[in-house]
Amino acid sequence: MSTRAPSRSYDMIMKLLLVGDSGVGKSCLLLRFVEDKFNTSFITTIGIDFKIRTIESNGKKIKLQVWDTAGQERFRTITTAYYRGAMGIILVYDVTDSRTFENVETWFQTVTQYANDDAQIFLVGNKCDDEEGRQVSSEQGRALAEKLGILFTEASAKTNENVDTIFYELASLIQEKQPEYSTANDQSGGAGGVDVSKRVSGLTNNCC
Amino acid sequence: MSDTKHWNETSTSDVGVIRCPFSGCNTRIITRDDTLNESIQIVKNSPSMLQSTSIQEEKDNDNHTCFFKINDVWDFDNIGVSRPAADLNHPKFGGEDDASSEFKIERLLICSECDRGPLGFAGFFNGENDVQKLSYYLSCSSVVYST
Repeated sequence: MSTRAPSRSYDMIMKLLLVGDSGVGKSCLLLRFVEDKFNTSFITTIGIDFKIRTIESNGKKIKLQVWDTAGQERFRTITTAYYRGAMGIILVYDVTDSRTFENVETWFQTVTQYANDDAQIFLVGNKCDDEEGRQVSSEQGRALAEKLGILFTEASAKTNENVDTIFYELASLIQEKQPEYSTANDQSGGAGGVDVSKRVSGLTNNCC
Repeated sequence: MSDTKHWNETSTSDVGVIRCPFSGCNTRIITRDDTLNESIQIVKNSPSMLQSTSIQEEKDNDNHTCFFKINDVWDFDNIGVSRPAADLNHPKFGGEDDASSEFKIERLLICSECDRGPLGFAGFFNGENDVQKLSYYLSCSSVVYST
């Protein structure tokens, strides 16, 4: 019997979570809905629980495990099991539904209550392809992210705009915060000037 | 696709890379090494799996019941795992140590990039229900092989 490769086939693993109100398109950020005769509808019916994706970031092979919490939003107690070990949280709202934007701060408080202190949070305004239906401006999204001290982008699962960027940037940010995994002496930049460490240490409030 | 092979064109000692069968996707799913080859099991009555050969309108082969068994989800490079689904066929594992009675099938596997499948299934042994302890079965004839 031959031996397996002596070392693991990756440098780092990261658990990421998609959270946010129902209907904001969390699942769409994980599913691509390729339409052809081989793509049976079974998977859109059942839904995806998580995906493993391997990416390369700063020369390191990183395996991402991305979890979709869709369908569980109503139980504010998605909580412990899902948040346990999560290194990155993608907090999604719908730019065409201001109510989902108003709930971002509640989600933020929930996340900071249950997730690890060093978990990185990424605010994502989804459905940015729909300019006609837009109710939340990019500026509003950016301002809120700045206030909360987290990363921000807008994305469209429909056009695939920025979707992969979210995963890559979040992975890169997590990598930066884990010096042993990042490129030597590369501890600056990449986070858009947001000092996430300050946010983490300064935030202890719980909601509910 | 000229540099990829189908299951019936490979031997159980081949090593390399297992990929999504759809040209235009061909996403890397997992490394095929000796450990993976030794994990191959005959499975009967599994849920219906995508057959990579029929994508190219070829006749199906007889090996559609072979599966690689993967115990650690992190062994995958790229994979999508469905939520628990009801009404899946209950698979029967071949061989002398048929453990079907202790197995509870729960989920289906798809390509992480193009979402097509099913490429396999996953479930629990011995009444487990911790998602970290899922056992994964990747259908040998649902994927393609490259060196």
